[in-house]
Amino acid sequence: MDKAFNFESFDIKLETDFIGRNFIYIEEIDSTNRFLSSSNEKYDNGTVVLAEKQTEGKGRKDRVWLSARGLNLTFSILLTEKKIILKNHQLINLASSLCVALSLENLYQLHPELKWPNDILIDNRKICGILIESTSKGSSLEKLIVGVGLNVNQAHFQGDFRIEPTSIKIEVDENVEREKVLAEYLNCFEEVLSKIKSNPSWITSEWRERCRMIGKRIAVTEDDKIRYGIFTDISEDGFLLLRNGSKVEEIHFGDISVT
Amino acid sequence: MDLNYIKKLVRIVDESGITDLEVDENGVKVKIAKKIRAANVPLQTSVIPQVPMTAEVIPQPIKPVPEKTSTEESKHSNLHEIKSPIVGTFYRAPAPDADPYVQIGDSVGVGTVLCIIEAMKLMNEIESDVSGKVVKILVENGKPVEFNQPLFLIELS
Repeated sequence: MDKAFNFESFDIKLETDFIGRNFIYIEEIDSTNRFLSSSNEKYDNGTVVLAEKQTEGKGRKDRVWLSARGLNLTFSILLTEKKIILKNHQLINLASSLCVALSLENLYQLHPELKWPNDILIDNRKICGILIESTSKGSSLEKLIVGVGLNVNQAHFQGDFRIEPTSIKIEVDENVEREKVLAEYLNCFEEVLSKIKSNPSWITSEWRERCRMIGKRIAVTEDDKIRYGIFTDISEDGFLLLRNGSKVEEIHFGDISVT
Repeated sequence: MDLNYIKKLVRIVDESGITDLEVDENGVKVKIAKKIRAANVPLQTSVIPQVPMTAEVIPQPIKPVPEKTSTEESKHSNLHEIKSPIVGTFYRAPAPDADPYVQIGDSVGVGTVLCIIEAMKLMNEIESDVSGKVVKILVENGKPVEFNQPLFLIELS
């Protein structure tokens, strides 16, 4: 059963200074990312938009994100601080998925695995997907939006999925408090953002520890093109380093799988 | 006075009906004042009011220093270059089977979407910052681009 989002219980647990302090709750919308990217309103840095139902939840390119009403967390975070978005936008990719892993470890002692660039899996099943969108006017980044879809209390998934889905409820065998999960994630996100500025290598090393594909032979697929090689490491900026013979290539995007 | 103590005070003010609180502890004075802001979001949304950030000042974003104009631009002063703000892959359309955002000869205004640069799962939409006509597209669809690499030439109107 879905349960209305309890703002008080969320607010008590939120310990941030700016992430989620401007909080917008919407019953139904096309996409929370689009809400923030297309709005002419100047929302504060750290604004969070949570929707109970997205009618056009987005994945990469033209893929969609499906989520049942009121059971999960689908939200977007707006970042406008130039210091972060101009210099460290790539690390936000890793940081946003690392925070999901840290939150699930802290709250439920789960052992999530991170899949490059930013999927979160539990026993090879996808529990969370992240899509980051930014807009730039001319040559300068204006704003960056981190969209997170986290499966919380959904117990059944219908449809065809590229990767089989799971949820926190399926993993821990009980309903969990969405407010607690969201507050934990946002608390962690703010902390990790400050780490990006003070100690960026912490992000890459924590991320690496949770990625089980490093060292394995993988295939990188993008449209009709497949590249093979050894996933040797991630670069300081978070790009995938693929070794083929003596050549190491920096991969910017694509779907990866172990071969 | 420690930061957590101030945070607690902020919370007390925020959750109460009062608008001002002044505390003097061993000569260290803290004043917390609440501004009541009108919610300015669409009707179907409800909003948790912002906690006033009196304990910390968020620095205002600094405008980036304008890039040096390239030689090509200086030769043709009515041509404006749009450069890539990030390292990634250049896409002229939102999806593989969709029409390109812009073609050579198209008129664009400030805010017209020109292309997407994708890096990892970050999709960066580039909007024009000038009004004019697209005269040259300097990168092929699907090709990698470097930071600051010129992508479009726009003839200013």
